[in-house]
Amino acid sequence: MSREIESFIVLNRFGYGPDSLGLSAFKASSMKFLVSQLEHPEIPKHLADKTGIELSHRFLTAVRANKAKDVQKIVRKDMIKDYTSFVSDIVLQRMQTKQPFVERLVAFWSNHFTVSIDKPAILGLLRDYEYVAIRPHITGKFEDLLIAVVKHPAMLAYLDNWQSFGPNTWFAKFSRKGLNENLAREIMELHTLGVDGGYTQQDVIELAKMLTGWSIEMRNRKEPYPKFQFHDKGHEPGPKTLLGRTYKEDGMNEAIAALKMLATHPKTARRLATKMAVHFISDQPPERLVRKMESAYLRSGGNLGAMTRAMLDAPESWAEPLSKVKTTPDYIVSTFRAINFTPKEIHTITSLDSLDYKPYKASSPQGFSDENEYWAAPGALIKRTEWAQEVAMRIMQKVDPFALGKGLFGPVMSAETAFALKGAESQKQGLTLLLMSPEFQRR
Amino acid sequence: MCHEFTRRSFLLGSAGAVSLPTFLGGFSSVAFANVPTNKRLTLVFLRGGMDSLGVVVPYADPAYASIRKNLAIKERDGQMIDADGFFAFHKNLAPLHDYYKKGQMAVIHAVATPYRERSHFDAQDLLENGTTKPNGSNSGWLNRAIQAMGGSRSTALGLSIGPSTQTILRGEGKVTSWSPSYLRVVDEDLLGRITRMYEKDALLHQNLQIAQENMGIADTQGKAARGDRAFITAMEAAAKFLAQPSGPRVAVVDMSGWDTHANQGSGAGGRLPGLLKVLSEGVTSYRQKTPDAVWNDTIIYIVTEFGRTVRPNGSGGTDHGTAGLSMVLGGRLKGGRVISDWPGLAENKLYENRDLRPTTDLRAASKAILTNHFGISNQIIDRNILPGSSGVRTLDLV
Repeated sequence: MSREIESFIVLNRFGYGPDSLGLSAFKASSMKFLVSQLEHPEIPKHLADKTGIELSHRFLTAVRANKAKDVQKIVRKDMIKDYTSFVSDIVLQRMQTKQPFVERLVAFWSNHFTVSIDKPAILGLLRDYEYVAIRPHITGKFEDLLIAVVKHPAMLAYLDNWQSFGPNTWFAKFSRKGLNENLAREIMELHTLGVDGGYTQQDVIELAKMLTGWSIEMRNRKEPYPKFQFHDKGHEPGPKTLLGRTYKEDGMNEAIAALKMLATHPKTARRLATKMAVHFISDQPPERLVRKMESAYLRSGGNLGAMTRAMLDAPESWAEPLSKVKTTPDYIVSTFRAINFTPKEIHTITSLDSLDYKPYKASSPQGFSDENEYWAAPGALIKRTEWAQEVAMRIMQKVDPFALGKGLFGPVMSAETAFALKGAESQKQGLTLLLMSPEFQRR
Repeated sequence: MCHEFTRRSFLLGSAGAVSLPTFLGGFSSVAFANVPTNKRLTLVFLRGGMDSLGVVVPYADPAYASIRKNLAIKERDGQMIDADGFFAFHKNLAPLHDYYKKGQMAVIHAVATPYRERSHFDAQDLLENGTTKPNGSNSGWLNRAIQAMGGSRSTALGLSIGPSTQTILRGEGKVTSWSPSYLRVVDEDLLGRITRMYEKDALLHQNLQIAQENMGIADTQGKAARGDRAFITAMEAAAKFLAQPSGPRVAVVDMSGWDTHANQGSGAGGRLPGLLKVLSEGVTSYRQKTPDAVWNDTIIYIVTEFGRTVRPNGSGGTDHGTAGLSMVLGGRLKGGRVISDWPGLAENKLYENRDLRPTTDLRAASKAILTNHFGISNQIIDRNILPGSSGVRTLDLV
């Protein structure tokens, strides 16, 4: 494979595309560049900001205290502000990082463990969720990621577990609350085993029982954050049987043991390997590739770094430079990079909005799709065209679309695209075509 | 933004399908040459699993109040409107109750697809692919239906409202799609150039072509709507598309948010009552945008992937269940009825001691629409559209 095609794949498939200097500015060794990110992922400290989680706390307190609707509204407004600034920060982080692959992995796992701002309290919790629960674990053991996610107030709120209590507990009698199976079901169906993972309705109930009492602090005047707390008095007593194995009554440790078992289950390995291969490599990933990733996962006791490394090592991952359509947010980030534009918050938000993408607001716990058909749907392509035109119109300095394309695509550029870029009737049209070309839509 | 939209409709209204009727004026009473049927169907998919018992309430079931506990609506609270002495509509469905009284709406209760597990995604997939298994087919049954109606690769009888085509409409039959936009229009020259650039890229090429064919038609509400308005805007757009003499005939509109695990509400407050209000408004707006003659040829078919648990869960909500309900509206419907072989809410009548027991197969309603509305033969339905449904008796609905 030519050096330039390899660079194209490293930068696009495992990153957010080259900046306007193009492929030739990338001088590092491909594999070293990617592997060093896996081995030494940096945590961008400037993203750790507790404002949102504090706001969520204020919001929840206002709701609990039954404060007037307009008090809630004021807090909510601040939460929305915090949310949009978070979304903007994330876009900048993806654009400017020296570790683009790490950011791609964060985005992938964050979507695997989707939470949605459909529930207002989550607006403020997102930043902390991604920073504390997702980011530190993306190259470590999956069970650590899973447990961190399930313990985070954002997930507990999103899938209702914070108010799920054992029917036979003091807490249930007192609060008239009981079992809620939402989180338990999605853990098995979406986060681990998959829908054909061989569990039954009774397994869902048993896992839900194990998770009773996994909730948030109800009263704490010292810390202004909603924090995870296990409420023993809300935890269903007695042994529970999950997937044929009986777990003795053991408070919070029951669900910890169950989550560890689920994390290292062969069905989970299969599911995660497939999902990651579909996200990064191809809608129909070669079986050989999936098998390599799956076995790396199982051999390493469920290590995500090992599974990711297996994907990088497989020649199948480097076979075809244009197999995946970019997701909408990645299309936006790669555009900004390609034209060297540093967006302000308003640019980021309106861009996402006009492309119909609602960050952290997937329509179901399944998260956003990983498939080409979703991102390149007819309506979506028109919107991308409209937006690309809007962007192209705003570029004031002189740019030669063909030269820019040559730099960004190198030998990947097709004759059709070259013809279109050379024949454009204006710079604006040429840049629109560049941003709509298959080489820029795909990776 | 309005201004930009006006420009769009001006630009495209003159060139696209809108001008076709003038050319074919002489044939106005028959189906247009390239559209094989005058009948219309809009399928509304309530995603997330609607809690049927909070919507069309079996208030006279002796077990109702005790088993529904905090979610039970009390008769005297004025939160429901009686339908037939046994069932009552939730108050926020009042606008739909008007159609019911006129005989233009029917409710099918305790209805379910053949699916008996409780995953949203599998349940939706099965309902959409039209077989008896999740992922049982790569195409959707409404797509196979438009093929049976004579839709082809060149005549788009299907219309998907929303950013991407729903599974139920995927397949060989041509489907167009529409979703509202904020930005300015792109001209045909630019689109032509992009299309040529996509010559060797099958997916992008095909989808861009589909998109272009749709751009002219929905001349309302180019502005994308927020939140609740989004569904109403989508319904208005569907009505406009389907009202066209030579436009698509089968539209699919999604409405999500029905997965009410917590704080579901019963009477006035809560999530479910809010959703019902929006649903009512969407249907009403659809009717208002539909000319009377077209309304007589129209069916609105409202479905959801499953019902929810009969008993409330621990969080003032309900968990995933089995049987639910479906609503059908239309100008020429045999409506004014709640169609149900009611299984009862007593503990020993429940499915797996938790869910409303399914007594009607949803495909019975789908088959009624396919045969009596669209005139598709049972043989084609059983073989191609809803394979494995030959034992399902067609409802007397249309």
